[in-house]
Amino acid sequence: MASDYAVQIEYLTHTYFTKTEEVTAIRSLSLTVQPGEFVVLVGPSGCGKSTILSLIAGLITPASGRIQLFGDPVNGPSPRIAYMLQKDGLLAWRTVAQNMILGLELRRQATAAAIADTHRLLDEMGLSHVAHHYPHQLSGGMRQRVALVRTLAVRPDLLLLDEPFSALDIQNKIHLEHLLTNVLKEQQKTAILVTHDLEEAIAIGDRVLVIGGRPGQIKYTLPIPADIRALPPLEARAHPSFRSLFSELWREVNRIEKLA
Amino acid sequence: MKSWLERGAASPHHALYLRRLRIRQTWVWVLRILIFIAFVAVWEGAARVGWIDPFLFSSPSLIWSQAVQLATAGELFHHIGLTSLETAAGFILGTVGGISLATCIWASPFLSRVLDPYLVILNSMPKVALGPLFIVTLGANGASILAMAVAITIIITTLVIYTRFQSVDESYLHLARSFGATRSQIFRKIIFPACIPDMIAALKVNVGLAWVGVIVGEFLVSKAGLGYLIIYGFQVFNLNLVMLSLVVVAIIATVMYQLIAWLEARLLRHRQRG
Repeated sequence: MASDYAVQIEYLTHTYFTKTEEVTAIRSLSLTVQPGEFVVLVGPSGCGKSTILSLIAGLITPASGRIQLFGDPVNGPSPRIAYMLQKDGLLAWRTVAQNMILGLELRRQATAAAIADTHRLLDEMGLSHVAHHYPHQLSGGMRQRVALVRTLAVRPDLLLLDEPFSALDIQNKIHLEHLLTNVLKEQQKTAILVTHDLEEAIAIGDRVLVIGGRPGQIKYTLPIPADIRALPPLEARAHPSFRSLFSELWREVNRIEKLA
Repeated sequence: MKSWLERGAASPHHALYLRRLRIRQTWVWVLRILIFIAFVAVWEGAARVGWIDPFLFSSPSLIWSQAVQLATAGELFHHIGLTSLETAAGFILGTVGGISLATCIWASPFLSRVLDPYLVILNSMPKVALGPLFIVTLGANGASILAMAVAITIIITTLVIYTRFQSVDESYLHLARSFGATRSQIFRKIIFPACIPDMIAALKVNVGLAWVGVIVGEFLVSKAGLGYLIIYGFQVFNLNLVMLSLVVVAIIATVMYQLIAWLEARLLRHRQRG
């Protein structure tokens, strides 16, 4: 029977090898994500958060355990997924318009209609005036917005976001959080975000998971109340109960970090 | 005078800035030309007064009359053309060959591991020592000269470009893989274009190296070309001819280098610096 989950992870263990040792990054991790849900992973550096994303994306193969995407087992990169990283990864020799269709090109989906759609997306991000600029002519915030367009251009059902906003200043960060959450809500997309920024986690997530320990496991789950989830990222930060959630998350992350 | 120094100024302050900038640039050029004139004048003077022996060290006027004599005989341009052609063919073949080899090695990481020590040995070899080998296999002709120029450029190009292929930012590759890119797509869309600046840099270095190969090649086998003129002039003790050839080599090598620099500026004008 096909599952109704967007992502279903069961007893996932991942081990990697070096010349001198064998490191278990994640042990027996289980996690389910509902379609349309926004799950945030936080936790100390090196706890395996990014590894979880790479496993879901099919970029690496787990030692054991099962991952299903929309009911199908993961073996290799799925066309239903798009990835966004802290580094924008814009290619210096391509214009914005050429960069944003990189994913479409690699998947051989760069049809005229798909490209026109992507231009509309670029316009929604307020960037159509720089379509023929090269990346070095853009600010950091603009570059990351182009990266977001490139991510959305392939029409993914699931977005994997690996600290995409952590290199940005606070203004750009909140602006991008806003654009992202709008698009996700409008298009009913599912997302998993890895971040170090606990405020960001609460402001844009539906559920925050604290990953910790070595090997990494889910140590704590913080569901975000519906009234905060309904607010845009900036307004969420001003909500009366935001501070107490932040304190709770802060306390848990610190406790887990000390244990490790 | 004023109008030229301050042309395009947006404000009196900007005018002052432009003025300083342009005056300094003018001085740079004036001094460059003065150094050249002084060098030629001192050389010529020293030869005439007898400080240096013009029979051994020639003089600008003797070089000039030698040039006029060779040019009127129609020989000079034949030699220049031949050597330029060999050099251009040498560095283009060496660079293209090196990039192709690097691509083959990149295509198979296992092969690259296996071949690594051989590449290092070949790279450490002084390539001109292979001269006799080329002559016995290819004959005492242009093919040996070209082989020398290619031998001197191709291995180092392979090593440098392969290293650049490998050092392309991992985040690009991660991104491409997440879009399901195949290895050949990653190469064509990301690694190869990312390394174009390095390929042009290799081309620049190879111009200089190819000159070494061609001149040495011509020393060994040729009956024409600038390397031949140098060795012939030396054998008949016509040092004017040797000096003339050296001057011509310097000029043409510089022109070739500038052409590549121009090509580089054109091809890379959109890229981020640094």
